[in-house]
Amino acid sequence: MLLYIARRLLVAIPLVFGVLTLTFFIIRLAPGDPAALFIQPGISPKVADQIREQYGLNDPLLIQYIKWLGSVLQGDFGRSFSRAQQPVFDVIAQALPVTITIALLTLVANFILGIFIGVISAVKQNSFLDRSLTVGALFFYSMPEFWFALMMIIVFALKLQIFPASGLNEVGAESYGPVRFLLDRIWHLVLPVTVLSINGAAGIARYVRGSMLEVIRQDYIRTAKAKGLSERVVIFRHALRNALLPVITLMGGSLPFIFSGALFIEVIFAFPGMGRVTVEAIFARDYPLIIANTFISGTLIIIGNLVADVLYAVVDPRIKL
Amino acid sequence: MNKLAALDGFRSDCKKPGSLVVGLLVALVFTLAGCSGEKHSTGRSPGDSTLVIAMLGDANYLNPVIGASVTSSNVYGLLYPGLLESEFDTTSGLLNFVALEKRLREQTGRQSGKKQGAALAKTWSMSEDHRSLTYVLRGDAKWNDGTPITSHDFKFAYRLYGDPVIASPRQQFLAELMGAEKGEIDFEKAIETPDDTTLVFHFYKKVPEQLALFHTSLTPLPKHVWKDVPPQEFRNSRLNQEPLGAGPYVLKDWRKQQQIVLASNPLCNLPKPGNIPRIMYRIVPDYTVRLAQLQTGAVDVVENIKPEDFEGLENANAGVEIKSVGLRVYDYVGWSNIDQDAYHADGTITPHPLFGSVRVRRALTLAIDRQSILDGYLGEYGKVAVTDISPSLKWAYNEKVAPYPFDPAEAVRLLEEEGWKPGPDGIREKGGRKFSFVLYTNAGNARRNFASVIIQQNLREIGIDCRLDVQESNVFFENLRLRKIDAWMAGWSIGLEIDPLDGWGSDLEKSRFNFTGYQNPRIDELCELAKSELNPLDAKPYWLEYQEILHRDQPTTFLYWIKETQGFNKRIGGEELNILSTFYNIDDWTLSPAASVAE
Repeated sequence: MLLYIARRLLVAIPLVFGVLTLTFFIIRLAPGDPAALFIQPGISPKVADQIREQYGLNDPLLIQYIKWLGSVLQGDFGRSFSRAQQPVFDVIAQALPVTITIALLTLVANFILGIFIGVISAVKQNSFLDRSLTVGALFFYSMPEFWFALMMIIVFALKLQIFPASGLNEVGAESYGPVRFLLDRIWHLVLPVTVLSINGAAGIARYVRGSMLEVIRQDYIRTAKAKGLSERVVIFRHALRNALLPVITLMGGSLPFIFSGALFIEVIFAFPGMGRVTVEAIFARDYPLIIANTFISGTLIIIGNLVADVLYAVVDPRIKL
Repeated sequence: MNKLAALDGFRSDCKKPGSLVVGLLVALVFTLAGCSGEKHSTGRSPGDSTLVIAMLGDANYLNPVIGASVTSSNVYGLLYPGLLESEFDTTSGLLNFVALEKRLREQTGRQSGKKQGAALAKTWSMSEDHRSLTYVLRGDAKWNDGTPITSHDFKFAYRLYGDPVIASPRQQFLAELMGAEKGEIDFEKAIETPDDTTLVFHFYKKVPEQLALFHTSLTPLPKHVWKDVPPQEFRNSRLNQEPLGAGPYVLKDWRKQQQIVLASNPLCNLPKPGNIPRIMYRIVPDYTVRLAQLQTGAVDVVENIKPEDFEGLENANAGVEIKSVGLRVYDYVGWSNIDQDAYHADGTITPHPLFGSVRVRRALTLAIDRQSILDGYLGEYGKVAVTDISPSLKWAYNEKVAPYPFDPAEAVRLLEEEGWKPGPDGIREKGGRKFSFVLYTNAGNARRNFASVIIQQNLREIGIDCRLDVQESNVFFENLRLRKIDAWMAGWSIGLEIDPLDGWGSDLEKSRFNFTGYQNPRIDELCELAKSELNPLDAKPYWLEYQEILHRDQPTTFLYWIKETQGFNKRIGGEELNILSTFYNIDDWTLSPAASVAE
């Protein structure tokens, strides 16, 4: 298996480079100009040119690419155009923990909620409960996340005033003790994580239901029931375990979706995470930052997929890597 | 049996990853909590002493040389001292400059509530020939580390403003200094510092006093701190994170993309420490969320509230009031006056096949029901525009030029005269060309969306086919700049000094913002004449004529002036909105502690 992992990682390197190269050229094709901020009345026309010179944008595209490639191979992704020329990895180092927290919390909530609903639907197949859960799941699944987020804010932050509408902490939270600070942080994470996970959980619930229904019809389930095991033991110990196998691959596959979902959620809830960094970098045409973000999220997605494949082999002995 | 055994193996394995994930999460949340564990201990509850301002985006630099956004200048304006104070006289509409012992002109109207005394200059004198300006500085001003603020700090800062490697967006302010006419400012000759409290600027030409004051009052930087920073590293310097200033506030904490926290500066004598102990700028990118937070009292100030949200805010339990200020911003519909294809091909100027004729443009303005747009969206917070001279600049505004009325019948008559006759499908035609075009605007502006739909409807009624297209802002402005689109809706925010040549000048290469390609030599002449007057008031007749011409030529259809509307929590006292800035006198504001920030 180690050999397999090593091979996959080796294959990933040219893949990441291909993606970065494509990104490099595509963002330069997009209309707009990183120095556009400086093209306005009252600002000398020289300024935009000086800024472009600083950013190295006056070179021919190929030269820019070769220079960029040279520094990237040495691990230098450059400095951000739009964020006070911070090194891009400093920007990302501040943003990544926020997004990873949201993503992991969402991932856990996704699966717990999704599996729970899926199992109930399958066990009570065609009952009223199953139907309403199915309809409910479809309803949330087809709802755009940004809209759902705004509705949640209007209901829970504005009307009921239970949860805060944005930010990672309350004003003045710095003076709280560590426990209260942590609780305050969790309080602020409730709405965004709920929005992200309800949407994902709905999809997972559909998978679990389908795979559960298939497993329940198997011979060994009948055997287990015939042995006189209780319904609970049959469902959770015998059926669910097998039904979860295909769901585990979803875990790796859902990472990109959670990441891209976090994009909108972070803008709406004003979290300084990767999603906000990416969106703002794109609007500001901050080339180095866009490329570094692509690098990070691409790498995470590749690793996520790899982990899913490995997990699959770990849980299902029939699969050999 | 085999399968069951396998499942048992699965069971024993699966518990670990689960607990591992939970452990990881707890660790993560704790690290996050640890990141921001800076302790402050104030006697009072933090909400009582902290003013919270919601902002759309973060400041880029808190450095006056390179800060390039309104947010940046709002914040660094509180950290740094200024040579002069500026004020806007609402009676005359003139910008005024004030030193400790001298004013450019006497206040004619109501006295502003802002406490005076922030200027570093005691007085100034303009030489007879208007080629040099001498400031006398106060001797008792100090940077926060105790070093006196001297004339050398100004000279040092001006070198930075002028350095092409640093690429300051304020280079334009140095355009009249000696040597600028040759492309390189001679700082040794242009700025003299005979002693610590005397600062002399020399210009290569005659400069009106008002402009000279405006252009020489850029914010200084402490020379003793910055002198060893090479220009290439100026933008990356650590010093940008810990600005050393002398203003009423100091920077306490700057967490990028989250918040900027300022604390009142007890050392400040320019003129005094800020009233409110702490000011927190919170970055909330989404408008709906900013609005919700204003309603719940989580933030105290939100700028640019849309009129449709006023009612909800006034009923909010947090107690919100809306204040408006203006008029600096207007929307317009731009018509390309010239045939852009021909211009791009070989630089020839030919009239645009649709909008090249003055009478057609006038007809378009007559056909657009600007009052309906105002009634439907801005209400009392808008005013039909005549030209790009704001009614707030009273000294220059031409009262005699009335806006064109909404008169579709007259519009039709003008179009018929020009030979645009209705075709079989009701769309007007002339020489086989249909009067049909695309009106572009930028994404994300609800007001312009609203207006564009009404405009489309209005034009259809006189037989003109107008299709709407919304472009991403970057793309839209690039297309405008390259003069690629024929008709568009956009807006301008005007400066308080009238200088419109960039937008209307006949030299299309030089006039970067003349997107319409409008050319009228008399407009160039009037702008030059006005600029050469040493007293701006003497330029009044030129500006009056300028407005008459623009009104007659209608290079664009000026739609309406917009009042900026800001929401304030009622616990704020003493706020005085000013056309210069929403936060004009923020260091004089007070917070009533009784109404604390709601949870």
